[in-house]
Amino acid sequence: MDRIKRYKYEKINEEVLIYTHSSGLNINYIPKKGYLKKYATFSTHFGSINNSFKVNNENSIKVPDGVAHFLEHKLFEQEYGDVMDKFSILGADPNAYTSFSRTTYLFSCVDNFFENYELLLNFVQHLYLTDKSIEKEKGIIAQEIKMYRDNPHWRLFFNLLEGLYINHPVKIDIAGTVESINRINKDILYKCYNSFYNLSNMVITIVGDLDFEKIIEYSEANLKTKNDHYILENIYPKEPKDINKIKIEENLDVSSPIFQLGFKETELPRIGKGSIIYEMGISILQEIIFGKSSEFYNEMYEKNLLDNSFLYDYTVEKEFAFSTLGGESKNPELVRDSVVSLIKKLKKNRISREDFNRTKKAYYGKIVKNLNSIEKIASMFNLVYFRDINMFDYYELYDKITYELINDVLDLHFDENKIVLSLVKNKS
Amino acid sequence: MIQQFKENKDKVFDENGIELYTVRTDKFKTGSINIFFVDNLNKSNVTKNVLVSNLLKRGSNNLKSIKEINLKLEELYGAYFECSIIKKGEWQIMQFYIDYINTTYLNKNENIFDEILEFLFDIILNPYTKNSIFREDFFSGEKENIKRRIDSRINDKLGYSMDRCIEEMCKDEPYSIYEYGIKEDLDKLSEKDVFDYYKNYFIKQLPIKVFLSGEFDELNINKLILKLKNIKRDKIIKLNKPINSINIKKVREINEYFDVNQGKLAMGFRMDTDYFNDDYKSFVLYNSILGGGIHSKLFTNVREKESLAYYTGSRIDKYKSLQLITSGIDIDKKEKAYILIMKQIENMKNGEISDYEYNAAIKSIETSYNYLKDTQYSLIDFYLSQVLLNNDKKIDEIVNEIKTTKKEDIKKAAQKIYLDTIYFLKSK
Repeated sequence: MDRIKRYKYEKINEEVLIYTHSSGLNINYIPKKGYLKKYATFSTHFGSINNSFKVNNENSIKVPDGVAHFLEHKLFEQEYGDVMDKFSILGADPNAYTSFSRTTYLFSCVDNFFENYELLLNFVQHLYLTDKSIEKEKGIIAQEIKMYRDNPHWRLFFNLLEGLYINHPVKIDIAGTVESINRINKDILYKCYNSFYNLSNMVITIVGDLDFEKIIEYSEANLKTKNDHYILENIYPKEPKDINKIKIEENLDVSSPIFQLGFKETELPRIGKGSIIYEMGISILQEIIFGKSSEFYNEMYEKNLLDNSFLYDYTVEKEFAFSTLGGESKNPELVRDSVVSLIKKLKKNRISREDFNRTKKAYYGKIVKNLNSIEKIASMFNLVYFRDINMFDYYELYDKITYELINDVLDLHFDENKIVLSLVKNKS
Repeated sequence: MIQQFKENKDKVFDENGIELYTVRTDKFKTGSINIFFVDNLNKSNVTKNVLVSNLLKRGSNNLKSIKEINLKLEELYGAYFECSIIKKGEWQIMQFYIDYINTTYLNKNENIFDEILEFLFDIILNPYTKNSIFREDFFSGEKENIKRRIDSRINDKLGYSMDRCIEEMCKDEPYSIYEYGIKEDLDKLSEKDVFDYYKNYFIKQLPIKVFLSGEFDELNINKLILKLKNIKRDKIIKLNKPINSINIKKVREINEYFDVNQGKLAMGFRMDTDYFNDDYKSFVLYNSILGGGIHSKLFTNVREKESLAYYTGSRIDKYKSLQLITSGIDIDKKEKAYILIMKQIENMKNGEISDYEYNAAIKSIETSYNYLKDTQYSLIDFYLSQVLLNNDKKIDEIVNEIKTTKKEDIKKAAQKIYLDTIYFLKSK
């Protein structure tokens, strides 16, 4: 069996080497000659949305909110003590994060890459729990939850998700609540660990100036070979196409109102190479409609309704997708109304060809710039892996974005009936 | 072929208070030009400097709006342009930054360098004026933006608590001035005041440091030099060295109240040394061991052992010889946190530094310095600091000095750090 695949991308002068381990786990290696920093990530397809699941057709299990994030914290504590200390002695910066659908462990370093890599592989594959350490972790995570409760942008974002989704667990805060994490215990943690930290449900990405043969050698020596046959099934509630609430407002200490508008995406593909061109289509459309060269932004800026803090983004994962735009504004409702009438107008008049050609050109420069950063390459590889996409496919498929596609995406994604306004302002 | 990265800058031009440095590398997919205007941080200029840079990026006589500026940038394959305000010690720096994709990655081997130069100098030297002063509508709009920017400081409670601690601590020193300006001064300034200031002072009298980075040839350098030679200059102002005074009669305590779930404790210390002193490196290590990362005493004892805080750490400012310790804690645990933090400092004074703490701190500093070489902008920022501090040490030399610092030296440094101000942000 050919376990090594090599893909070269001449246009951007990059390549990726992929090694498939006997467990089914893939190791992506992206060489970056001349860089001193080395970066490795180890991810499992387990995030905050995986709160209900079935293993090997047994009874379905429902776990408390915040368990994926809790496990992320716990893995750093092993029999021998804190994993962080070990990395630290080797001169590495370890970290981990939990998103909606993934938990990622990573480190960066300049020296001792393979010792660090060994450490990463070993601690992620081994869970060590005591009742005492679980209780202690609840204290730390409770502080983290409180910290986020005071963060207006975090509140703004989760309120937006609450407005967009009726049932989907994407709207639940990633860390859970002080109440939900108090219900977490040893059994729940083991159950989740054994269900989701199976190598066939995981991926490794390495970026830097390294020897691929040696990566394979260390991976083989440190990855568990035996892999029990298992079937994991995530259970998601049925999510209607409609939105939940058109507007959510919260009061917090902020200087001027901050807002986010969200469009719920329900029509476009999310998985596989084919979904990429739609994703890039939305990004280009956002640039055309809301970007700094747009009529919209300039008009809003001149009327002092928007400023430099204005940003837009598109989030797409295997299980959900939505686009956002927002910033500071003295009148977010007026901005929302302007967006709605703008979308209606554009659907009638269509996007101009000139705007499309110019923006598509600029978009290429922007995505090429991402290749400067080791972290960006690793995190983008990771982000799209569970959608069955290789990050470099974006650069190959870029040429396939057509004017017609952009107009289709405009009709399909930007639906005036699926727009939510989230707003945070002062009490007064 | 990628060459070994040449970790150095070359000074290629020095006339009329304008210096040009080149940093040659083919590691990145982009080139960049940075133009820094440096002023002494002072109350009478701070707001004018911010207004000037905000107004310059609003438009030139050729590109008359944000829209036209961005249409141009899009044509240049999404070149990224920004003016930022940076505070380094008691200097205020106005940065004009542009990065652009390397010719190699363009389809037709187009050369965009000349257009990039034209663009950048057009923005800086040819502002959009009406009756020979800044436009009234741009002026009033930017005043609003700056006001909002100043007010929005409270949205980030951690950053705010740090800023406030420093403001109180350095009340009578330029260091306390907020680099985005003084709100009350905005209304006192007219379009004419600020335009005269721009014409007679900003362009003519401020020292200018320019960095060209990426792949370029002699022709590119000469074109840039020609542009710099054409700037009409006057007598250049002298940059002051930061004042470093230690005169603490009594530790100041300040409490401020907000509607928050988590308290922020910030403690400001003064260090009896400066960047030019031989013992400065001992302070760098002191800071790293006390609160500079996961190996530090604060992280281990305040966060991990006592689970008192989600984050805690310390940092020093190399331009001002200050140390700031910050943490996010439960409001009713302030005393406990304070005692625990002071205990760590006491231990440092007694020379209680384990081999693990010492070695991990050295490794961590070495790694951070090496990382600088992998990011185009971090490297420029480092060189700018070296130029401003008139220091010619290379990254590797600095790292070697750190490595030869002994525990005994760190203990000595610990005796020369004094608590000045305790700031606590809590709930109403």
